[in-house]
Amino acid sequence: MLKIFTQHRYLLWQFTKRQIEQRHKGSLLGMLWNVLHPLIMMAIYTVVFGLIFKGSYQGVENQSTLDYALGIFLSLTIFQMLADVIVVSPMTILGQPNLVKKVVFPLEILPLANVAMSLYQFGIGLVITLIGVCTIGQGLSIHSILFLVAIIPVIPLAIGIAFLLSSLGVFLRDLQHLAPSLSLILMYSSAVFYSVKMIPDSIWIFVKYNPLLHIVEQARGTLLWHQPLDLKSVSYSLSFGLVILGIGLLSFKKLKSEFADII
Amino acid sequence: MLDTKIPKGPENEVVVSASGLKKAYRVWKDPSGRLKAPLFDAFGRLIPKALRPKSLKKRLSHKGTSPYYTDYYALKGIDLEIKRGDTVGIIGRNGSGKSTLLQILAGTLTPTEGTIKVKGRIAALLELGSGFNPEFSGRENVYLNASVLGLKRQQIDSKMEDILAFADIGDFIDQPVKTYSSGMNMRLAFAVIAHVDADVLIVDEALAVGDVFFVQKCMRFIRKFQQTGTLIIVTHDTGAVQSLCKEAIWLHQGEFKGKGSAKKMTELYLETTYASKQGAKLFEPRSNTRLPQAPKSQNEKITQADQRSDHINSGNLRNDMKVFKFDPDSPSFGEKGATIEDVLLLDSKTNDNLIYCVGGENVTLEVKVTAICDLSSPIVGFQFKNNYGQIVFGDNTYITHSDNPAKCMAGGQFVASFQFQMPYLPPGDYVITVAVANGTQEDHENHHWLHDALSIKVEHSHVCHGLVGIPMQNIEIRNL
Repeated sequence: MLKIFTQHRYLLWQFTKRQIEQRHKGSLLGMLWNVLHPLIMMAIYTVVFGLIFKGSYQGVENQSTLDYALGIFLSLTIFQMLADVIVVSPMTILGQPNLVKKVVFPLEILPLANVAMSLYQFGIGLVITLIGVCTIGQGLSIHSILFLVAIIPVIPLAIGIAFLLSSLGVFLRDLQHLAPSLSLILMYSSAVFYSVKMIPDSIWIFVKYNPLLHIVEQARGTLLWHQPLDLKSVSYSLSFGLVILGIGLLSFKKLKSEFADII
Repeated sequence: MLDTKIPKGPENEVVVSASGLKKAYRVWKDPSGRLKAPLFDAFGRLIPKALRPKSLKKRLSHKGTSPYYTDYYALKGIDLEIKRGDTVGIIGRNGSGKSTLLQILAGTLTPTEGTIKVKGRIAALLELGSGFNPEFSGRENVYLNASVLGLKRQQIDSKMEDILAFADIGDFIDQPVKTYSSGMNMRLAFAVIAHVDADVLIVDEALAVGDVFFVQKCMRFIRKFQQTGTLIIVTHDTGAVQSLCKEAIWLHQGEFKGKGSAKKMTELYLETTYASKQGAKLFEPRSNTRLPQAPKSQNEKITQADQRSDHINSGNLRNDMKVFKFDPDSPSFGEKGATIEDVLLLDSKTNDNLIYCVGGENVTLEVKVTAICDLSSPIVGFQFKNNYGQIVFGDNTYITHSDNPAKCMAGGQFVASFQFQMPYLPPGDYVITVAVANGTQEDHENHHWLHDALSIKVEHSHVCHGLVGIPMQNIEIRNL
C-alpha cells in the first residue's frame, strides 16, 4: 500500500478528484450539495429525535436544541465517513472490469480513492461543525484539540473496511445488497442520536464492541462539551481499526490475483 | 516522423521467459458451490491431518476435482523463451489458449501454476483503448495510461506533443473519452503505447481495424519497433505472422505444438487446421498416380487477360477498385530538393484519370515532380502496399534511365510514368507510396517520400489466396 503513495500518487489524486467531480456532475448546485446534504440530514434528525422524541445527550449541562443539533451533525459526519465506504466498496472492483482485465493497473488505488473521497466529505463536515461550535455552540477549549486524537481511529478503520469489502465483494456479490443494511445497523448502534450513558446494560454488552460508538462519543465529548478524552476508549477503537486494516490489506493481497478470473 | 527511442540492451538477452505455465478456469456446477467449496475446505482443514479420512485428504489436496467444480485448463504447461529484439507470432485456432497466454504475459491474469519473468517495460495492445476511463478526458487518459506503464509525469509531458501528433484527433483530446468514436479511441490508445518506450510489445489481433492511413501508420511503427524491441503478436491471420515475424509458436488446445520459423509453423498450422476440418491430410504426395501434364504453351506471345475475364467481369466478382484522390498532405519525409506535385492513375488507352479501375486492366501511374534544386540523375519509384504495409509490388525508373539520366535543373518539372497491368487484388485497402530521389539504386538521396500518396479500396475479388491474383491463361478439368 505504501508503494501506491510513493509511485502512484498522481493516479490516486486523479481518481479521487474525478470521483468527487463525478458525484455532482451536471447538477445545478454542484459542489454545494456536499454542504447541503449533511445539513438537510441534520435538520431531519433534529426535528424527529430532538423535537418530537424530546431527545438530548445525557450528562451535558445547559443543553439547548442547537447543541443537540450540533451533536447530531458531528456524529453524522463521522458515521457518514464509514457508511460511504461500506456502501461503495463492494462495487468498487466489480465496477471497473476494464482496469482489472485489460490493463495492469494498481488496483489498490480504487479502494483508496473511495476512502480519500469520504475523507474529503468528512473534512467539509468538520469545517461546518467548527463554524457551528464557534457561532452557536459552546466555543473552543483545550479539549477541542484532543478531538483530533479522538477521530484518528476512523482512518485505519475506513481504509481497512474499503480493502476488505472491495476484495470480498468480487466473490460475494451479495455484499452489495447487505451493505446498506449494515450501514443502518451501524448508525443506530453508534450513539449518533443518544449518548453512551443512556444505553441500558442489556444492550451495552453488545454495542460496547462497536468502535465507531467510542469514536463518536469521544469526538462529541471533547469538541462540543469540553470533556476530557478517555484514552482507554480511544486506544480500543484505534487498535480495532488497525486490526481491520491488517485484515483488509491481507484479504486484498490474497484475493487480488483472482479478480481477473471472476469478473 | 516517429521518434521513438527504444532502450537497447544486450542482444540475445532473454527478456521473456516462462516455464510450465498452466491456467485453470474453475467451472462451477452450481452457483452455491462457490460458497460451499471454500467453507468445506476450511472446516476440513480444522480436522487434524492424522484423523482425516482418505476422501477428505484427496479433496483438500486440490488434485482431483471436487464435486462442486471441474477445472478447465486453458493452458496445459507452456514453456517460453523470447530474446531481446525477436518478433514472435503466436498462432492457433480459437480456444487454443493464445489470448490467455498473452494476458498472462501482460500481467493481467495470474497463472495457476508455473512462473513467468519479464525484463523491462511491457506494453500490451489487448483490445485498444479498453484501459481508458470513459469519464476522463483524452489528455487525462494519456497521463493515466502512461503512468500505469511506469512513466513519470515529466516524461509524459515531454512526449505529449508527439502522442497528440500521432493520434491526430485534434481538439477532442480535451473531451471525455466517452464522446470519442471507436476510431479515435483506438488511435489515442495506440499513440500512447507507441510512445512509452516499451521493451516488450504485445499485440493482439487489434490491428486489423482503423482506416487505411492509420493502419499504415501503425505498421510503420511496428516495423520500426521490431528493429530494437521485442514484439509478440497473436493472431490467426497467418499472412500477418509470415509478414511480420521470424519465429512462431503454435498452440493447440492449450498445449505447445511447436516452435520454429514463421513460415514453417504457419504451414504446419494451416495443414492441420484444414485436415481436421476435412478429416484428411492435405497435399499428401502420391507417387503412383501421374498428374496430368500441363499443356505446353504454343506461342511466345504473352496473353495478358485472364481466361475467365469475361465471365468474372460480368458478375459480382469483378475486381473493382475505387481510386481516391491524390493526398499531398500524407505523411512524408526527405530532403525536399524536389517535391511530388501530383500522382495520377490513368487509363492506358484513353489517358483519362481513373476514379475506378478493374483488376486486369492496363493502367498508367503518373508522378509529376518539381525540382527545387538541380537533380543530376533523378529516380522516381512507387510501392503498392496492402493493409499490413507489405509491398505487393513496386518499381522505379532507375534501370530505364541508368545510361541516360533524365537531368533536371532547379525549377524544372518532369513526369515519370509507369504503365502496367493492374493485378487482381484481394479485397482490402491499399496505398501507393511514391518517392523521388537523386543518385543510383545503391546510393541515393531521398528528396520526397510520400507515404500514402494514393489510396485504393478493393471491394470485390475472385482472388481468395495470396497477395495478388495473376492472370490465369487456362484452367480446366479433363476426364482421363
